[in-house]
Amino acid sequence: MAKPHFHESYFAELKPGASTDVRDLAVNRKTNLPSGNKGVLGPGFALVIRHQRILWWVFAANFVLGGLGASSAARALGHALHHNLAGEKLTNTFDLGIFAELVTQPDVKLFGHSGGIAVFAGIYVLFLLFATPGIVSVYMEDRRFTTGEFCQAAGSYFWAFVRLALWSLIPFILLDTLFQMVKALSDYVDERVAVDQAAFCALVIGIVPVLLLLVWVRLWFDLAQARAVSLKTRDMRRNVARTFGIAVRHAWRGYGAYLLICIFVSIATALVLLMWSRTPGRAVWLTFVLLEIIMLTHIFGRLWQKACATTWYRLNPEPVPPPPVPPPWEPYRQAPAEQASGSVQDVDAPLSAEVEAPPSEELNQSQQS
Amino acid sequence: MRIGKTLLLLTLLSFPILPLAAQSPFAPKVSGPLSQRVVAYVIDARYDPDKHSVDATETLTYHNLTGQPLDRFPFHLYLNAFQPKATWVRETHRDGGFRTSDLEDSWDAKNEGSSDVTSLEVAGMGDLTKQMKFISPDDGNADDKTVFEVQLPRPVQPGEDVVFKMKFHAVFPEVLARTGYKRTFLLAGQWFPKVGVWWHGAWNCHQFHGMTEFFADFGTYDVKITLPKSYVIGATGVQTAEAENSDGTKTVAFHAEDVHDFAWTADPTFKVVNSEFDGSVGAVKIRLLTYEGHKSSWDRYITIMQQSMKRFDEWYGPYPYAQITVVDPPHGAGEAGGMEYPTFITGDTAWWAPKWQYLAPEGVTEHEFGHQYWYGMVATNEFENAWLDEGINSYTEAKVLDDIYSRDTSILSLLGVHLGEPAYQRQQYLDEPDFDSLARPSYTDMSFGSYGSISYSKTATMLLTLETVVGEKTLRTALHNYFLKYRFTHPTQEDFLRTVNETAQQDLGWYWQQAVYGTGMLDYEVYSAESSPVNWYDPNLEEKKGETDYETQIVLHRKGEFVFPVEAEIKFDNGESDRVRWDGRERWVRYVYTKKAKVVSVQIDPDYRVTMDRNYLNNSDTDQTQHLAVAKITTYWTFVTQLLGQMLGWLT
Repeated sequence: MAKPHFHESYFAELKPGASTDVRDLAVNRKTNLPSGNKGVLGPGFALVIRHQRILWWVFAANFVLGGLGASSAARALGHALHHNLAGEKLTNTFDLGIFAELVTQPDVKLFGHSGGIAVFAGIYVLFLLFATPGIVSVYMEDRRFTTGEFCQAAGSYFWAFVRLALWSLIPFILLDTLFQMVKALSDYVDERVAVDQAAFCALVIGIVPVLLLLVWVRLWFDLAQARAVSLKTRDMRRNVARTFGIAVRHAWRGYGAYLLICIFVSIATALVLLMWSRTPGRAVWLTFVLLEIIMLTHIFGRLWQKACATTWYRLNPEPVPPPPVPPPWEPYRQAPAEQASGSVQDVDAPLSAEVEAPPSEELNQSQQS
Repeated sequence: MRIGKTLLLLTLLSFPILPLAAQSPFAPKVSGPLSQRVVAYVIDARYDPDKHSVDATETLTYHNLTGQPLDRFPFHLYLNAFQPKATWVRETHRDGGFRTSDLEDSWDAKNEGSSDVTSLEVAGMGDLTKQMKFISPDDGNADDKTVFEVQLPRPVQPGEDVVFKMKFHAVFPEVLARTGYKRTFLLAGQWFPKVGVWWHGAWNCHQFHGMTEFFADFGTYDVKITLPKSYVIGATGVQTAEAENSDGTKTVAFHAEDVHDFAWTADPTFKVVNSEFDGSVGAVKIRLLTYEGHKSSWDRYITIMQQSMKRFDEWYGPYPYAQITVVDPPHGAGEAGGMEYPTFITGDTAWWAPKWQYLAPEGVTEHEFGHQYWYGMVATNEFENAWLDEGINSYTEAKVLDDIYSRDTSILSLLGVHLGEPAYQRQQYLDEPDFDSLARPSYTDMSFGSYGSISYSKTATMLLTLETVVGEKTLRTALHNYFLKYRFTHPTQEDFLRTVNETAQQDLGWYWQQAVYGTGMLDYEVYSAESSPVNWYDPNLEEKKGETDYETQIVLHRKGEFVFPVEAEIKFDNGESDRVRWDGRERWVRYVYTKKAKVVSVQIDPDYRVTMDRNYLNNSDTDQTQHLAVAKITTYWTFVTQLLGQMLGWLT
């Protein structure tokens, strides 16, 4: 006997009454997206551009917190250099000797202000944790949210996303362990093999799969975020497990998009750094602009990935539950033809090829029991 | 026939080594002896690459030129330093040491080395093996076996020779503090029993310490080394013969004269790159022993060698030997890198060594070549006055590299970020600048950090600063005179200081007293710089640029104890400027100007030549706010914060 397609555990993840929302979403998907399992790179890009307000807000937060992180150091530098000609050795070129002076002199101790970097980078991470559910919701619904809607979406999933982030630490730590093993292997090779480049090659060969896995894990958890918002579920343990299966079996197109975005961001960063390398030492404003372009590119790339994951999830929805079981006092007979029609069946389509549809009688029996 | 074969065999055994073309150990226009040869070593060694050990016989002929009878002879056994309870390990564990940071945490059996003298015979006096006893003249550490002495049954009279015949077994550590093996590579330094130096009426034979190096007498070395024939070998002096043996080994002979140590290296995977430097005493062969993986550095090694040899030849004096062997250690053998032995140095590089930084291979190679002068020929006591070698050498390193790569970029030049030797030496000096004086016996310095700051960088910084008093050319001449006068001898620090005084034709005692014998710091600051109208009391005063008379008062302050004359540059808003020189004897000085201009800036040491000044940031004051440097660093700081946040944000 074939196992039921839509088993209880699936329903258990949903909040009461959520099934209706899922069907609503399924309808929405059909209206705003290209049909079928097409590429997600373009739609994802379009999604980020359509909702570029998010991009600018995230960038603004990143910039403001970066500035705050530097403010303490800037004050110390101002105290040391504003009325000092030694600073000239840092402007036309960058004299490491004078910089070392700034780092080591007790009345400046520049690196003593590096705590600001960690603190404000941490605040930025918290900001992202808060904003991400809102961002995913906007991308999922593909409509402009009011500030209130955004904050509501962000707030209602904040702790769920915190739990999701904590769950993501498990694979990240495993990957870090893998990286340490690769590094140990490289050290081992370095110790014993006379060929100079052997250890480096071992490191590169070992790191590439780790990096590829890292990107895949990111995709997995981005899909989990999309799924959580889509299904309004807060059970992150089941969500992570479920999305793992989805990412393994179906999300390779999304993975390709993630890799392409990584490559795009790397190339863009390299190009901007090349321009920066040709910038005159005194052109501080130009340096500032170029460095901020790098940051903007990184943020854009990350949002693009999230948009791709959301788009993929919208294009490839999971099977949704069957219609509610009628009350027992109303005799109910469901014709097979009825079950196979309608929007619910459309939503299931992408996955149905791999999973056998349950016989309706068995499903009814199991639900009645 | 049988007799014939035996005769042939005997003949072959009698002449086991085929001499190469007669090779002098000196450059074409030089002939020895160059030194008062005290010792003559003849060593026959066999290397076992599986056990990383050497079994050897050593014959040392010691010429008693001390002017008094000697009946007690101390010897160094440096390889015994690499044992857990030895003084070297104890000090390195406590204070840090040469490229041996691992010893701060753990002891590995691979670190262990040893040197055992299995028999010692003195010609005409019999077997004295039982007379040998370990001594610890410096710290009384009974577990330290780096020095032994032997009591002779009768004294060796002045002018008389004594011949020691020893058999010894040496085991090398995995490369550690300038000696040892790594995979198939071996750097054999301090590997044989070496007699101490009779100096100033006593034996000078220190234990092997964590921080200091070596001291030995000049003489001749004839060394045969037997090792597997696949090995490529290099050593102090010149190779004089090579013969293959029937057991798959070969024996290579080396000869060196007027040197005070002998080191060698071997590895079957060495690549040999030969080149030449044509100096004032003829062509000198540069023999680079390197690796295929370091191919990108081969030209860099050769070029820096030629450039360095040219400047030393022109500035300080000729390199008189026929050859200099440059060893490029393999990867993972960094502890063998950056070391000097007579006519033999080790460099350092990596297959990825970027061309925009000159610390390695250029800086290291230049530095080690410089030792050929300040340790190899001017053979100072490195135990006690390390600065005379390492310090003067660091100064000449700065001069040579600055001349080649320019003063501001002689360490690093990349994308506008640069670092020059003077700034590098200064920062190194400022790490631990005031714990020890240069005059203190180096092996007793507070820590390895202090030893490095003082012996290397304080000396370099002190001599760079001295240039502002005596001039760069005078100091160069002084070093030239010092080298010519004291090469192939063991001068003291007073010899050096006296030579500089004589060359500069002035008594620099005031400077030496502070810089060499003292630990005081040099620090000047611009305390205040203000202009106010002369008629400040006039209620109707209207200040007009170029018309109003201003009185400008500038106060310079000596914050440190170190008294030194400095220059200050004062600039006014009408474009005028003035340079004043203050002797620094008082704690402060006031300069007053009355001009139709206001002061714009005051800067002490505007050319950044007083490198001993501990704080450049208090050397100037200006009324024009300097935003650019602050904006630049803040921009990068902001970017780093943003980037870190974004990277961590990747987890959300």
